[in-house]
Formats: sequence, structure tokens, C-alpha cells
Amino acid sequence: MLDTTTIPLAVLMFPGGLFALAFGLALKGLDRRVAARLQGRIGPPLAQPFFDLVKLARKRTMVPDIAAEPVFLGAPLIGTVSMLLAAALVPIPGVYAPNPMLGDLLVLLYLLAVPAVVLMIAGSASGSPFGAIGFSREMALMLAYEGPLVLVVAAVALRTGSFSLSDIIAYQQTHGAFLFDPVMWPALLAFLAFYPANLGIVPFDIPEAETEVLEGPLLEYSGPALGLFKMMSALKAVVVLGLGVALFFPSAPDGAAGLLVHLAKLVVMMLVGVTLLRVSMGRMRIDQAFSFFLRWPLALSLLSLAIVAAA
Amino acid sequence: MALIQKELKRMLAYSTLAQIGEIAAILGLGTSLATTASLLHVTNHAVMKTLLFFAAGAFILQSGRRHLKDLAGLGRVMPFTAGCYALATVAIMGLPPFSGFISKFLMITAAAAAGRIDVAALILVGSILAAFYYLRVVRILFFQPYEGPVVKEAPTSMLVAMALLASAIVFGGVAPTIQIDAASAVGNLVAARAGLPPVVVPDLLIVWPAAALIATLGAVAVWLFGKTSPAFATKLAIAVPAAAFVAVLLQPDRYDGLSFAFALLVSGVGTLNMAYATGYLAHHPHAQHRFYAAFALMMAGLMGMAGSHDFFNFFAFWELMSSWALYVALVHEETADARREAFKYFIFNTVGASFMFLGIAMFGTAADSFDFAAIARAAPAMTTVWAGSALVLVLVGMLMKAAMLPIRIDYQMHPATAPTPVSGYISAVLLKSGPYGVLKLMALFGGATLLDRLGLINGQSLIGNAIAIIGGVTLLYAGAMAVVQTGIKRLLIYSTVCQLGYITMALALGTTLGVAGGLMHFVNHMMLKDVLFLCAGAIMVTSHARTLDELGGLGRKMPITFGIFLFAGLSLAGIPPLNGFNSKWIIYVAAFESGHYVLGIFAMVASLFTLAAILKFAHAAFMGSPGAAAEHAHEAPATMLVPMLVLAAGSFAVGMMPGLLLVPIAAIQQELGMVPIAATWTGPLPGAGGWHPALLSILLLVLAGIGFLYLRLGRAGGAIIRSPIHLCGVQDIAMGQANIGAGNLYEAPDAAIRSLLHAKHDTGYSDDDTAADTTAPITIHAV
Repeated sequence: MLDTTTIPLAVLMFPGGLFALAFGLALKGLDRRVAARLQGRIGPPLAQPFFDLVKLARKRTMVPDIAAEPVFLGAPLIGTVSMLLAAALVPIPGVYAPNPMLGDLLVLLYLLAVPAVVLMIAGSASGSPFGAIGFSREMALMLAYEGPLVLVVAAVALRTGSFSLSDIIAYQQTHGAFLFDPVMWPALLAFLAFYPANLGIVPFDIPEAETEVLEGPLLEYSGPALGLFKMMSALKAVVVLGLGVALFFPSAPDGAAGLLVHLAKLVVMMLVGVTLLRVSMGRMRIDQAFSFFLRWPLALSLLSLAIVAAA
Repeated sequence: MALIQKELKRMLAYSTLAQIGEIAAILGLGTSLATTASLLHVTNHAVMKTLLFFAAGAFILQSGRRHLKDLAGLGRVMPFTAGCYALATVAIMGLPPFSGFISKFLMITAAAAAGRIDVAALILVGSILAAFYYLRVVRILFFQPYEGPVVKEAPTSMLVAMALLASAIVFGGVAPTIQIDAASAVGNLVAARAGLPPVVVPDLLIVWPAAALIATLGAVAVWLFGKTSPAFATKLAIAVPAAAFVAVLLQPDRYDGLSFAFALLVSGVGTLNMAYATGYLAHHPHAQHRFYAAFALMMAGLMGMAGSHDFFNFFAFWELMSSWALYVALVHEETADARREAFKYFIFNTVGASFMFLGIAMFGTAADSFDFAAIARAAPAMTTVWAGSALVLVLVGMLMKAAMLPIRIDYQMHPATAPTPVSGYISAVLLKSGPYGVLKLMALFGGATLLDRLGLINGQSLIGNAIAIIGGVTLLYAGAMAVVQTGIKRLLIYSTVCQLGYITMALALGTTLGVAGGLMHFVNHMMLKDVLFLCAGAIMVTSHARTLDELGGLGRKMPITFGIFLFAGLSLAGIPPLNGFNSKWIIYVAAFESGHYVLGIFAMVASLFTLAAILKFAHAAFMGSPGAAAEHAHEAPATMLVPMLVLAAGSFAVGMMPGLLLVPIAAIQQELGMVPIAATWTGPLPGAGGWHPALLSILLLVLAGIGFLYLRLGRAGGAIIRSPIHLCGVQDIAMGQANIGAGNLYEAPDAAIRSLLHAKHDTGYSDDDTAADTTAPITIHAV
């Protein structure tokens, strides 16, 4: 009934697991390097995120004396593992289609909320007021951007008539990618606003703002536990960007060439949507970000659902 | 007039006038059934009123007080007299299982049979008004403290007379046949003289399923033994629902599949909550056996309802569950706040039941029978207007029970002042009688029988669509309201209303997947929300707090409660792969598949609200910096922890093996005449993209478990260092002062929701001395 050989493989090796982790870390390294160059600095080596991870893994974890320890230590674990699972749920067009037994788009959508949830729980469980402020901001941001995301996904599903990512990809392979479909542009724009917020980068890095709340939920974390959060964040970048590719631009050849095309798309999304954005903007205040999302992305995604329903 | 009287006897006299008016109105209908009904009511009324006057006389004789407000607390010093008075009051309000219920039922039926809905409605409005003044006296007698000199119980001769009258009232309710025969003989005589056909009196015998009987008798026994041997009565209280559970199991033929499952859940969860209640009230033993008895009676009502085969019994047990027994359980704390809230809820329930009453009477007279099957058979022959309005009336009653909009939500929510185990039970189980009833009705009148005749939209029934939309709007509204609450229970209660919205919406979709998702969420929410309430109760016992702002950092002191809360909360909020997500997933898919995209989106967004509310609770109570409450906090006792653990384990099992619920659900669907979902015990979720939650769960557990071992035990066991938190060098700040409380947590969303929904700040202390300003309800402009 269940294919037990390939699911663990998909979660642990490819396309989730080690592969997604390595690629996510590489994306982070690239982002840091390019951002540095854009700001006139030399920047760290591309492999810096790997070095950081190794260093953190060899340290000890400090746990605040007022923290709820099992939750404090459990949060980064649950977050990282759920991202490993989510990475196995994102298809790579022409290369990999997830086993339907593992979950569908709705499952992926809610798994994608887990990192934010564990960050909130982590910040709260640490007992630090900075963590609590980070928690509060993370939740506000999530309440703001999750609505547009749900609407965008619903618009895509309504257009293709299915909530299965495989069907969504198949539809675009016969009818053309949504990237070139004007009807889907409002949804695309809303998604472009969503993913920097979901990845927590400037101008939406409000929950973890170093200069304001000292990295908020992450303040009390150190050693391997902090390393897990770094892994989670690297994996999440791969998952969110991969979801974007599947929803809007899945055109790709089969086989190894398909994989390369997929990775190239992710690199472009990272450089344009993340690196360029974060070096060219300042941080918003939480209330500004909250009302921004309830104004533009929400309006765009509602519009998109309306025109898809009408078309 | 009786409403404004200040003296007991004058109030009773005025109310007699009102009741004679009722009887005259029915008599004036002129049919032989009406004659029979009014005769029956005259005899019952005579007995009930005599008892009331006897008891009132005894009060005045013994205490020398005649003004209502002076009677405060007399019930405590003259328990027998006051008990008789209360019994007569409940009977005269037309509540089961007493004689007044039978004759009132017959009167309403007679009015409906004569086609005079207006008369029936008038009588119902009259009895709602009557509930105000009757209940006021009971409230004064029993639930207010007694002050003044010692008063003796009435003399024996009076007591005997009152006992006789009281037993007549009980007898007339449980075995009304003799009385009805006598009354219908006179009715026949009148009919014969006028040349009319003889009276056909519907069968008005309350049929008690064994489980309901056990629970009722058990309730009486618990109450009686509570006075003499409290320890035994407490044990008995737990044994009663357990015995009822066994009784349901032994009588599977009495119930259809849906009702059987419902009755099992009612008694099973009831046993757990009762066990918890004994721990919860252990340190606060005031009137606890009265509370247990009322609690068991509520369960009796629920089980009787599940075991009924006709509308008469269904309604009788519905009233038993949601009227006076509920009131007694809710008013338990006997504070002014509790009295007011319980009263409000009682009146709300009476109004809801009155709608249902009228609808049932209309169905019954049109079909000449109250039997479910007979009504369904007769329904195609009824006029669309008659049957349609009957159906809508019954549905309104049920939806009110399920706390759906657009009726003002602050009235329909059960009060936060009730003892927590019963709050949990109401939220988790009792309110489910609404969706349960809706599903039963939709199965009964589905398709061509009635529903389709009332109009179709895109091939789906209009009523079903309307209910689904009501559910969808409610879940979004209540979800948002839950986010802004700071009262410990209020937050959970709003979240209950939200989850009931999911269930109602999914069931009303009427598709195979929708009903399956609705039923699965029905059970999941029953377990999860009960757990959350029980956790909240554990907090309240140890901290005596009522708002989240008073708490903080309890997680270290109450690790088990915290763990259970976090699991159940995240599951309810729909975090995969937990059981709450699985049923919500089915609901999302069902909504999208049936073309209700907007409802599907509402459902998905509302689950985010639930998440925000739950995390706020978890942060404010268990996490964050430890406040004053955390210093003295300790883990709940075993009597409370075990029920919580059982429910959490049940949720976990269902999360791993959804087949545990889906297979019975498929069987129920088969029986209801729907296409059942494809389900096996170990199989995946149903539907096109059906996935298997166990796969995700196992991977998650294994990987996280390995990681945890490394984090905890890596570096030869020295992986953890303890350190104080970083506070930028500030050293003279108490931990409690550094806490971010619940009220400050979600500033921007809070403001947005409040301005959108016009919700006001609610502290959770709507209290005794400021009653005037806190009763001002939250107004709803959202709909």
C-alpha cells in the first residue's frame, strides 16, 4: 500500500533532506555574498552558512533557567523536521512528484505555517520578554500574510480545478505557465509580497529584528538548538520558493536538465525577491507591515480570485 | 402583571390569571383535542398551583415574610418545602419530566392541529415570560445566601400534603396515561355531542432508554446520598455515567448508528468529566452533590434524546438536557454573576426550545403522529409552506443550540461562570446536540421528501446552503473574537463556537465528504476542546485566576498539563499531522469540491485565528516570564489528570489512525442513506487526495526524537547549560514585571479585529457590584 522505500528517501535525501538542506544553505551563502557586494563589502565565503552550522553543532546549548525546557528544545526540532517533510511534498517539475500518501497542497500549506508557530513557541518558552515581543510580532505578521496566501492558492486551484500540485503543474504544462497569464498576475504579485514576509527578511524581518529585539525568539538560543533553527530557515527557503515555482512557472524539461532549470529558478527568485529587496529597503514597523498586507496583497489576491471565478 | 409583583402570593395569583387565559384560548379552539388538552391542563394546573400556594403559605407561615426579596435563601433552611416549590415551578413552566410538560405539549399540539399557529405561538411567548418570574423566585429561594433568624421546616401535616401533590406531578409526567384517558373521555363526550369524530390523542408517554433511566435515577440517588454520606455519593456520581455507558452498549438496537455513537460519546466523555469534577470540586465542597446530580441529568437528557424514535421524546429529553438541569449546574457558584449568566442562558435556551416546540407540533399534527419515520412518510403530502416553516422552526431551535449567528452571540454562549468541568462538557458535548439534530433532520427530510422542495441552488438544497453559510460566517466571526479575548474561559468558549461553525457548515454541505468531515471534527473537537477546558480548569484550581493576564510561566510547574494543552491546542488549530488538522482537511476539501470556495477560504483563515488564540493562551498561561501565580502553582491531582490524559491519548490515536473514526462514520453514512466514504481501519483519509497522517506523524516523531536525544544527551550528557535570560544588563526587575501579558500580545491584529467587529474589552470579571455596566452586551455588526 505505502511505498516505504522512497518516502524516507524523499524526506532524508532527495528532494528533501540533505539535498534541500545543502541547497538552502548555498542559497543563504549566495544571498549573503551578493548582498555584501551590493553594499560595497567583500562578504563572507559562499560556504559560510555550512561553517556556521558545523560550529554550532559542536557547541553546547544554553537553556534559560526560567524556560520550559522540553518545549524550548522541542520547538526547533519540530520546526526542522516539519520542513524536511514539507520539502518532500514540493514537486520538482519533470523530476519528482511526491507520493500522494504523504500529503497534498493543503497539507503543505499548513506545514509551511509550522516554522512560524515553533518560532513563536520558542520565543515564548524562553521566558525572555524579547522572545515574547518576537512572538507577538510573528503572529501579527502571520495573521496578515496568511490570508493572501490562502486566497492565492485558492485562485490557482480554482483556475486549474484541483488542489493537487501535480494537477496544477500538468495544467500549466498544457495551457502555459501562469507567469505569462495576465489573469493570474494579481495572484502572482500577492505571492511575491508573501514570500519575503514568510522568509522573514527585510523589510519584513520585524519579529527577529536584531537592532530592535535582539533576534527576538532566537535571542536565548545557542549551539545545536540554534543550528536547528538555521537549518529550518534554509529548508524553508527551498520549500517556499519551490512552491512558487510549482504554482506559477513549472515549465521545465525532464530529467537532470529539469533539475538544473528548477534550481536556476530558485536562485533567481532568491536574488531578486530576497537579496535585492533586503538591501534596498529599511525595516517596516509591525503595524505598517500589518496594514500593508491587509491592504495591497489582500486586495490583489481577492481581485485575483474574483477574476479567476469570472474568467 | 405577574412580572412586576413584589409579593409571592400576589405573583402567584396573577400568574394564575395568565394561565387561565391560556386554557381559555385553547378551549376556545373548539376541537375535541383542544377540549381534552385544556382539561388535562386544568387538572395538572390545579395540582401544581395548589402545591405552589401550599409551599408559599408554608414560607410565609414559618418566616413571616411575604415579599419576594425577603425570601432569599429560605430554600436552605426549609429544604423540603422549597424543594416542592421548585418542583412545582419546573412543572408549571412546562418542563419535563413532569405533568405540566405533558399537558402543555398537548395544548400546543391542539392549537397547531386546529391550524391556529398564532395561538400556539402566543402560549409559547407567554411561557417564556412566565419563566422570568417563576425562575426569579427559585433563584431567590435557593441560590442566594440566607440571612436572618432560624426558621423551622413547615409542620408535618403540611409536608405530607405537599409530598402528595409533588408525587402527583411526577406521576403525571412519567405515566400520564390514566389522566389522559380520563380527559379524553370527556373530550369524546363533547365531540359526540357536537357530532365530531372522537379524539385521537397522540402517544405522550416518555420512553426512557435504559441509559437515560440509569442516569436520572442515579442523579436522584447522588443528590439524596450527598446529604447523608458524601464520600459514597461522590463515588456514585462517577459510577452513574459509567453505568449509563454500559447500558448504551447493551442496548444497541434502541439506537440508530448515529445516535448510538452519540450516546456512547455522551456517556463516555461524561464519565471522564464527572471524574474530573470530583477532583475539581474536592477543595470546594459547597453543594457539590447537587451539581453532580444536575450534571448527570443533563447526560440523561442527551442520551434519552439519542435514544428517541419520535419527536415527542426527542423534545422531552431535549428540554430535560437544556433547561432546569443545566440551570442548576451553571448557577453552582451562586455568585451574582453566575446567577445572572445562568438565568440569561436559561431564557435563551427556552426561546430556542420554543421555536423547536412549535415546529414539532406542526409536523406532528400534519402527520397525525410524532414518529420520525411516520413524519418523513407523511412529509411529501404536506403543503410546502407548512412543512417548510415547521422544518425551519426546528432548525432554528437547533442552530441556536449550536450557537450560530445571527442571533447575538453573547446571549447564546454558555456562561463562563459555570464550574469548568461542566463548561467543558457543554462546549464539547452538549452543544453538539445542535449539529447532531441538524444532521438527523437532513437525513430524515433529505432529497425529494422535503428539502429539495424548498428550493435549490445549483442542484443543492437551499436550506443546506443557508445553514452552511451561517456556519461559515459564524466560524470566521467567532474565530476572530477568540483572538481578542483575555478571559481564560471566554477565549475557549469563542473558539468552541468557531469549531461548531466548522461542524455545522460541513454537515450542511450534505456531500459525502462534507458529512464525513463534519462528523470526524464532531468527535475530534469533542475530545480536544474538552481537554483544553480541563487544562484551563487545572489552571484555575491552582491559581484562582480568571483572566490570562494574571498568569504566566506555569509551564515549569505544571508540565503535564502544559504538554497536553499544547498538543490539543495545536491539533485544534489545525497543525498537521494532528487529528484536528485531519478532520479540518476533509472539511476544506469538501467545501472546495462542492464549489463553496468562499466557505473553504473562511474555514482556512479561521484556523489561523484559532492558532492565534491558542498560542496566546499558551503563552500567557504556561510560558513567558513566571508571574505571581506561578510561585504557588502545582500540578493537578490524578483525578483530574487521568481524564485529561485519556482524552489526549484518544486524540493521538485518532490522529495516527483516522480509520478509527472513519469506519464508523462510513457505516453511519450508509445507514443515513448516503454514499459512504471509502474507509478502512488502517487506511488513509478519504477523498481524491487522501493522504495518511500516520506517515507524517511517524517520520516527525522518529526524526525529532533522534534530534532530541542529541540535544539533550550529546557531548556525553553535558549538552545543556543553564543560564539566566538576557535582559540587556537590567538586574533589579522581577520576572513577573518583564512578562508580556495576553492583553498586550497582538496589538495590531487586536485593534483591527476590535474595530471591525466592534468588540469591547472584556476583562473576564463582569462582576457583582458593577453589574449594570458589564451586562451591556457585545454588539455585532459583522453580519
